[in-house]
Amino acid sequence: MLARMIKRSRWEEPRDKLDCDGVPADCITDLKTTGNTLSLWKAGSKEAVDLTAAVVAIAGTRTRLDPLELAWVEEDQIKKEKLPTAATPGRTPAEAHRTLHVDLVRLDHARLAKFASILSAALANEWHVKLTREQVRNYLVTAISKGTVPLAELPKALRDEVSSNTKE
Amino acid sequence: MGAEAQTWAASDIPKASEFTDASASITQPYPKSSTRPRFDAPALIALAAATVFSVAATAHTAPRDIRASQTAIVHCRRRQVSQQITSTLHRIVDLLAYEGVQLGYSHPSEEPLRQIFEQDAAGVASLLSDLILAKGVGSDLLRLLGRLPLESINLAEAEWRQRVLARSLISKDTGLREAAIEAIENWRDAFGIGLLSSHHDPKPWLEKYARQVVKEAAIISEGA
Repeated sequence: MLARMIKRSRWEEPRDKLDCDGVPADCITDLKTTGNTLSLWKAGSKEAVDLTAAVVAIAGTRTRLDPLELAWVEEDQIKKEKLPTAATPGRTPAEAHRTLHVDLVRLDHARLAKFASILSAALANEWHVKLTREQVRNYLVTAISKGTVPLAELPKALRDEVSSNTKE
Repeated sequence: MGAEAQTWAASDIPKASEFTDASASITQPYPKSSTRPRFDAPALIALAAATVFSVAATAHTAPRDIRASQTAIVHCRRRQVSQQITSTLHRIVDLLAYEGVQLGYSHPSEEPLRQIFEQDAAGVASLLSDLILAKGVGSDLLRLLGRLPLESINLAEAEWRQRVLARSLISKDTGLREAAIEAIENWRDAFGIGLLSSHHDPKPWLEKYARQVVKEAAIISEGA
């Protein structure tokens, strides 16, 4: 599975119904691309989804401890739709997780729409979670306790919020 | 700009009651299908000029969602709130329309909101009620409010915050309900947790999140 941060409220059925069948445009605006790429994190298998790499990478580079929303999709679906991917080192405070990062690359509007359809189907299956601040804190505290993330690698403001519960 | 100002005749300004959960009756100088950018030069110039009630300028350039919020500010003219506070709120709304609140990062409107709250909590509270429930940047405003410490917010009438949370949780707007739950998660006060305990969200993912917030609050209060 591959996980990505989303804003689920953007993916809700629009109040003003569309007269077409595609993924509503508002949903697609939640998929912000950079250099025509979209960032994803490996998230275990369908039977055992593991969001650790995604949570630590995203929450560990933020400056506030806040809730975090993630959705995950099947890697096979991406292959099936022939969306080009590249294993690129991810931005994360966990050195060991860097290789768990995958970019969707060379995206044009048609490829982005295909990914939006895959994600939309995943959300219909409820392959999504909104983690509370406390859950996010627990992921970070566990990563620090295990030595996966050095506390010093977290942004200062976040370090203060997390360190009260942490024994490195 | 002068001609535009006349667009907002007194009869065009909806009553406060009409703002409950996104009134569709707000007069729109722009068609629903407008594809104008969210922010453009005339709006920036109007803001820079800091005209206290420069609603006409922003109404001219802003898309539909922000217009509802701006109209709510126009409505505030009837209330006894200082021009400086109204003007600051106006800027906050514009800023939010330009750049929403991102989880995990501070927003430049947090500090100005805290400051005006400390200057005139009752006045700001009276304006925020309509703004939060109006279609537009309401959920982001509530998210900002949720980032303020309870002691700042409680400078306003105690029941005000409770009313805002209660009304937001029954809104049809998923984003507003989500922002209300996030605010309760941040504040973790008895009223908010009590309210959330009896709330059952129609969206399964939001319901799950709400139940988790309640569960964590219970664990923390047991540990205290």
